[in-house]
Amino acid sequence: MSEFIRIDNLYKYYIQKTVVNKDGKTEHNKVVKAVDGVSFELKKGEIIGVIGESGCGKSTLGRLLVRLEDPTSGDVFIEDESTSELLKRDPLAFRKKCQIVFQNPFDTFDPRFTIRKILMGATKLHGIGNNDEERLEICKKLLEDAGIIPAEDYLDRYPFELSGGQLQRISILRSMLLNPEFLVADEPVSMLDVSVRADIINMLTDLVRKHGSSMVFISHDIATTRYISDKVAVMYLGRVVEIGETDDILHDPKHPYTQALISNSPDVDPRVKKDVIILEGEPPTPIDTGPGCYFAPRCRHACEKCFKQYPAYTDVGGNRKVSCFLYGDDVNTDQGVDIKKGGK
Amino acid sequence: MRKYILKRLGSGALVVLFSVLFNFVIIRLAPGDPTRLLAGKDNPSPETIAALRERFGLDKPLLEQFWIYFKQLLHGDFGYSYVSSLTVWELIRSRIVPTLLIAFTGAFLGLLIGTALGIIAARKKGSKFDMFMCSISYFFDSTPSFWLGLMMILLFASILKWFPTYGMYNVRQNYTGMAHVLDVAYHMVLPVTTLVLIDIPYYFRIARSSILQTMSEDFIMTLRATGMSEQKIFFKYVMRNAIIPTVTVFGITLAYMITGVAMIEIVFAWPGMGRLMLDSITKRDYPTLSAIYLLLSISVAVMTIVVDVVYAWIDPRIRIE
Repeated sequence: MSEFIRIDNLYKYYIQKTVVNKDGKTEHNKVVKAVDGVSFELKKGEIIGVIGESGCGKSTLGRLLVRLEDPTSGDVFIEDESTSELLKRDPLAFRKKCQIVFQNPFDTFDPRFTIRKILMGATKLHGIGNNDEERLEICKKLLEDAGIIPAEDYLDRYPFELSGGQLQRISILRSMLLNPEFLVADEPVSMLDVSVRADIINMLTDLVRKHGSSMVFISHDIATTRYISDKVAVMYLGRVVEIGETDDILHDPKHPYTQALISNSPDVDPRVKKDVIILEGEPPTPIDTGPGCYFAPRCRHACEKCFKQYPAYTDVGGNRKVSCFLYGDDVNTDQGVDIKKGGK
Repeated sequence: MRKYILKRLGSGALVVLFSVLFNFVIIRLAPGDPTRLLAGKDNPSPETIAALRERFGLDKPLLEQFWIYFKQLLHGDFGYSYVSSLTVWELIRSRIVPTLLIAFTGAFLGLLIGTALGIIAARKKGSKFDMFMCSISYFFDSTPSFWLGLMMILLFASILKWFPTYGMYNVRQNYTGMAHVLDVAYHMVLPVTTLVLIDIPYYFRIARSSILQTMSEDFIMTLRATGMSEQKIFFKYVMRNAIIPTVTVFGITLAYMITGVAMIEIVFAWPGMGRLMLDSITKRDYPTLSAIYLLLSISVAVMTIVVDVVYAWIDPRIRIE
């Protein structure tokens, strides 16, 4: 198989002990479907953008991919090797292969450790470099390559003495230090000023391209995603509703949700007039998702069938899949996972 | 760092100075007159009272009294007790060791046991042990210390007769050397156990909640993503961050230890500072009271500085700013 990374039917359900409904009643032990059957593949060196609104399960997906959380069901395969087994056999090797960059650079580091200790700790743990001097050289070179010059000045500083942009650079360095083959970037620029975003994105893509790593770039910012990724997956309530090449999706969105999402993203050219699709209905919660399409209550094309059955993926050509009855009649018979039986 | 410590020392000295003044004034503002208490209830003659007032210098204006008191203090002289004709320093000296003996032992054991239980409960959050410990900690936290002390006496001294009911040593035997030490230790068991039981919930809850909080910090996720083992994360990173609140609470507890644990001392008839203080209040023994309060304010000021410095040493964010 040519696919480098294969994500196979990933599920993550949580049990929420008490849920307060809109009418003020409380219910107990409800299943929250954070990630509800996500599958896609990535080639080596490919970058996929995952977009969707807040609470659609993007970050959970990111954490599942690098196994910071265990999926309720499903698995991630790197070169056809199950990451669950890899993690069991050699956790350190797995961590070296898969890395993650977090959203909030201010909370990424232990406030009581200097940059030197943070970077040296990671290299030492993974046996990069033969002695401390060599490791220090590696760290210094990386910092200077990333525009943190002179590195000497920054090595003995504490995280709170640096700016968000600098910290995020160091956070990316920390991940790339290990030469990961697979990187998850969980909204790496959403906490940063717009002025430094481009720098960070460029640094990230440069490093990823240089190492030939594959990357999952999680974002709610469509413009950034367009700039960075080869492919785009659009998520809604824990499911991927549309996946395909970036240009195809952004210029000709098929799924009604994608259409709404893209029509709402601002354009560089203010003269371009757009038909903004305003979504009706309440913002969704991934509790008690009905039998039909999750998006149906807010969808302007929804028909009777949409409320009863969940659409399967339809190949609409150009390596692109959409899960909507507008494009195909197949029904997704996947019933999800029983959390009480399967998984933890 | 040096500037930081100097600044703390300066503010500490100021606190002590002000508390000397306030102690002096407030104690004398309180209703009640030591001379009347000393002269007895049966129709004291105005001459006796006047003589007593003159003897203790209470006939002088308040400002002059304060000036005399302050000058004596600078010489390290706390004056004489109105009641017992001993010097205040002698009174305090004989009481401070027994007090520190039980208060410190109790606080220290409480710290160790409470923190250890808190750590175990935090690691097994939601387990039966955790739930049991949480509920029992609320029980002991809401138990009045004197009631618990009385119950201990009732059970272990009166019914089971394992331990003595009161006192610090056996007055019928003149033990010396090792036997005396063992005798005191034997008398300490019940009061210290009571103190420990009262102290454990504080340290338990602080340790448990600060560990849980640190574990949910984002940087712990980073360490996990780097591939560090859970053991190492816990002992090297979580513990060092989570111990800070415990240090504070313990430091402040140490500061207040000087006035002892009055309730426990009364219940167990322990010859400590807490009892001395309560006695001095009821007898309007101004010099003794002032001295105790002064010692307390010095010890609070010193311990606050120590805690601040330890804090700065543990946490670079405070040290550098």
